[in-house]
Amino acid sequence: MKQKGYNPFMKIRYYLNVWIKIVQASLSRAVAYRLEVIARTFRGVFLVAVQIIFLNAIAGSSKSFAGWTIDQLYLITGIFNLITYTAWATFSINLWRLEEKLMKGEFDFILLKPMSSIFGASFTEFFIDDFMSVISGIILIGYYIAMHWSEIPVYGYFATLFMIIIGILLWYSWDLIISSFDFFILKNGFRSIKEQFNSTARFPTGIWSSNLQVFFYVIFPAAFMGTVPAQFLIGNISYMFLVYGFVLAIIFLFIARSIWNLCIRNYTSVG
Amino acid sequence: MLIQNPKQFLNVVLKEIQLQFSTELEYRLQIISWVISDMVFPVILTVIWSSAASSAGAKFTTSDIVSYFLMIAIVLKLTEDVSHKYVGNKIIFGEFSNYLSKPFNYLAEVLGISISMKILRTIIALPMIILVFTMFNQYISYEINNTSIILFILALILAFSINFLLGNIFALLSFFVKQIQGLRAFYDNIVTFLSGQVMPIFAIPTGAVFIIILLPFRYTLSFPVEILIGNLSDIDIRNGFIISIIWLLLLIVIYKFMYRQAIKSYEAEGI
Repeated sequence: MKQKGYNPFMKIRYYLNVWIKIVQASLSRAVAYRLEVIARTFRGVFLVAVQIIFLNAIAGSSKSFAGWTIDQLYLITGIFNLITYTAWATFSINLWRLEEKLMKGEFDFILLKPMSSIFGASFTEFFIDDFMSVISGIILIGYYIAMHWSEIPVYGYFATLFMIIIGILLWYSWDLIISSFDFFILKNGFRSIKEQFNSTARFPTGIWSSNLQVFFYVIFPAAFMGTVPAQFLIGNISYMFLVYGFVLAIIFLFIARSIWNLCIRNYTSVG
Repeated sequence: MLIQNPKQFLNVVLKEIQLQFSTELEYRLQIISWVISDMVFPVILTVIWSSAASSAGAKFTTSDIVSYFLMIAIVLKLTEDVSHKYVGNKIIFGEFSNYLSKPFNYLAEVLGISISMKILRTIIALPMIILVFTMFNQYISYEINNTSIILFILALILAFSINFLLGNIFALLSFFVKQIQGLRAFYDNIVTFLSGQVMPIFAIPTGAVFIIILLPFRYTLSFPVEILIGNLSDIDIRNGFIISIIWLLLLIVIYKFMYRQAIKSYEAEGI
């Protein structure tokens, strides 16, 4: 792998090829586990029904909540679902299982493979069944677009898509940071705390006090996993947030990578 | 009878509680993290529903919401059950054979694990619970008198029993369906929504309330809390207990029937 490391584009192509192979293998497994895929698809539809009931209940008869109309709330939830289940299908479960791999001594196999330890820990499997729950996000976003397509600026679609990618990168960074601590303390339970903070992203960030808003825009940027991408489609946010989101994602990825590299030094193959 | 030898069953439960205590205490940081995360989510929901309560036309007050979700956090600790995952995994990985060769009912072991987890986590959560209650003190209002406390405790025992049976019935599905992860996630979502964990029953649209009242999930969490916050009339409480007991008896019958069928079809191969 070292000889390919000198050319960053070759490196990206190499990892992309590896990931495509992983997805292909997962797709063939999905054929064998059809019931799982069907169950997750039904779950996706069920989630939409539940979320619609939930949002209508908090919006009440005024059909608005914290300055957001009910359709806009659907949009935030849809974007949150899209980011969440994409993250779970691609890397979150892999990183979640890192703890188990370390306990069983299986992490050595990842280190032996001709790829970076971060890639090996994050993308060794693609969970097509979890990916099916993305349908809940697509339905809710699709509903908003169908109802408001005439109000959405053309560049809004691209900006939202860009911010969704930023949201996934920020989610990934936090997952990687939390997983890195497994090298120090096994079974630390930090993931469960992170999951609870993640869940705040499905609601408008404006409901929190100003101090907490700073927290959700800067330290744990949950705002970029729901509210901010939605605002680009609605068209009520400054385009400076594109730059801010991009810079934030780069900083978080850098921090996550540094923490991982620092923590992995602590790894001893035990099992 | 679900339990053939009550004295032996109780002994196994007590031994299992001791054993589980030492296992759980091995990973103290994990328990502390779980306790923190368990309290974060109710606080998030309290903030969201309080915002909803302050809007015009809301059917509930901030006090209703705060009292409900903070008590939900405690009752959830006391009624939660891990059987559907724990027993389900034993069946899928072919480890259920161990139970069949033991001279006691496997439910004793599962019950012991469940009780020890509750005791330990509730004790560890106490400082956090006190802190949160102090923070929201001005909004908290419960109907505390001898009758309501006795009814609350009875509802709590019924809640755990129903939850325990539901979990074990779901776990038995693993005998028939090996691809259970997707169904399990679906089941978790159904329970979370219908038990009132994210949405109080008094905030649910009237049409859906009737269905929720008839299903068993409300009686695993929301019903004891509703008694304590004084939202129910005497007739509602009486009906609630009748429905709970009917479900409890029905679930015992379903469990016994499914267990017999499951054992007949069991092949201890492991997958």
